[in-house]
Amino acid sequence: MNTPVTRTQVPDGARDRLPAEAAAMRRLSARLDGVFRAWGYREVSPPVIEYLEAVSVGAASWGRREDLYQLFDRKGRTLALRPDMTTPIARLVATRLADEPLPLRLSYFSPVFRHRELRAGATSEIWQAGVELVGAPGEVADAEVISLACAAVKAAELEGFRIGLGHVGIVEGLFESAGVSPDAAAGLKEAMVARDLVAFEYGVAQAGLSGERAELLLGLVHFHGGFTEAKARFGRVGGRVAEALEHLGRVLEVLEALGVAEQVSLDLGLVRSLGYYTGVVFEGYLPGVGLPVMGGGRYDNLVAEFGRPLAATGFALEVDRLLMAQEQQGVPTGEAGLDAVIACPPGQEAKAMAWAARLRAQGLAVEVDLLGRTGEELAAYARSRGAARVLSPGLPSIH
Amino acid sequence: MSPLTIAIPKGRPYAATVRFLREAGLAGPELEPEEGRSLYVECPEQGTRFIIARDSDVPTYVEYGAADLGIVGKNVLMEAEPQVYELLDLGYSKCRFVLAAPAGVDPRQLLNGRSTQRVATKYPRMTEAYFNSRGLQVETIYLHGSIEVAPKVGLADLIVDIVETGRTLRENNLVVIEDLWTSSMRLIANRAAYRLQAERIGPIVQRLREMVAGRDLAGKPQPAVAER
Repeated sequence: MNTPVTRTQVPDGARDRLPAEAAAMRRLSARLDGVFRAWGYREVSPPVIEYLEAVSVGAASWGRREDLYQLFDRKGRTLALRPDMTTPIARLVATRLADEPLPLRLSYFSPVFRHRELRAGATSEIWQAGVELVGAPGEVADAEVISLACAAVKAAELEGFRIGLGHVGIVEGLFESAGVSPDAAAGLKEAMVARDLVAFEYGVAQAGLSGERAELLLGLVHFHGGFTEAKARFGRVGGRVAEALEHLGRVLEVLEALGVAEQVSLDLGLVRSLGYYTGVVFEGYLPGVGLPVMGGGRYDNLVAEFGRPLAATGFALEVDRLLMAQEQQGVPTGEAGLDAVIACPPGQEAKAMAWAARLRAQGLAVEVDLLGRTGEELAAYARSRGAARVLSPGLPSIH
Repeated sequence: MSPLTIAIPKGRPYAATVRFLREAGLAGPELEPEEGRSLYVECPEQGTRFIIARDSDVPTYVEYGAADLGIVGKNVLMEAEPQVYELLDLGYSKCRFVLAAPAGVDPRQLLNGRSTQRVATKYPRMTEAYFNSRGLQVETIYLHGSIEVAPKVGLADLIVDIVETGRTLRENNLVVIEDLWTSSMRLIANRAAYRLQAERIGPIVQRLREMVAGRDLAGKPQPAVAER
């Protein structure tokens, strides 16, 4: 269907942020940045456009090529708007930051771009805030980013944040030990990514597994319970599964010590749509927001794709979903108000401007009227801008 | 605690869905077996409330969290691909997606790839995906209903539609060329609600699972479905 484009439209999936929305976003950005800096993370800002080859490294396993925004440069090379932040950061870590001491703690607050289905609220410019912790293997690093996510959501003044935690090794280890063919495993994983437990069940039935093994796989996606229960149930599989469980157990211990364990529950059937994860994976939820507000995990092989084998872990928060949650939870996010409007009758320009400059130097937000208004007319304008005072050079203030 | 909100479809699967919910103890007499005017029903004793919506809107309510759970046909889910948990095949309102053509037309000629066929359907995304997978180029004509009439009036050469008994096809002088997929009603859950309210939703899902399994084992007749 072809709808004619008019010059007042913005493209599908794009949107304007008006002053109040832009102010709420800047406020959120400042609060998140404060937390990231307090934990030693430094902000980076890779370019919005990259070569297709560079962005395809991370997305290759699951990301759909048709979801990429692609364009050509003047030499005919294919460019893409980055569909995620982790892959560009992996590139710059492997190249530009190769001489920096490890571990690298990096953060960002940036948009990524993916074509989305046209539905209410689904934008193609997706703002994310997140961190990457590079060059630190091990459970303490995983626990650090998970608890940092909790601290970030707390700094956003949001309540009820919960994280579901899983591990790639449990899923893949179970498939291996059950003897699921690679083809069948790919299909089952796809069902897990889509959270289609019915397709998963049918897939398991079709894979021709023994009753006990099928039972174990089904138990994975339906699992609700604590670590002890998980270990009792899946630990006996041994191999990769047992290793992954050990690792999860140690992550949970550190989270316990950091005081955020009660926000974390096991989601052993969690498989994320991006294929680069190699260890723990997690998603975060807030009440009243239907889709995850945070996602992340360990990706120990991605940086190596750019020539430098480094372990890494990180997360991304969905900025617009956090803003939606702030609105729902009644977090005040208003614009910083204007303190005064200064009247500027003809001939008083220099005086009015000088007065404004003095007040601004004191840290006040001040506008000089440019339309020659006085009296009630100017007072009404000041009220509409939320300014507490109208000041007139040569006259006592009205309010 | 706020009631559990469940979105259910009006129309064809409504009556069977109400029977199912009542049998499961999730709905009381407030949810009447005949479709009324009310699009919103509360069952205080069961701690539930129901949004009665158009079937294609049910996944939307659930995806955005306006409803915690939903009951909807797989046909709708396949077309919409919502980001929700698909928890359980409830097994009723079974139907097939078929590719059908007017009786007497040689299907090999329609699908030999030498001419572009027009296909009328309520499921454009799946229809395109199917023909793409076969390497055939078709023109998809998106209709909201009465798909079976399209070949008769010269709007389309073929149709992709769901059938339960095949009677409507026969009445319109159409024959099934190919069975594409099958569909039945599914229980879906909002992704955040399923994680945040696991203690509440988990046992309900378990109970429904046992109910559905018991039904299959006992070989009980599936709830009757109205002919379209």
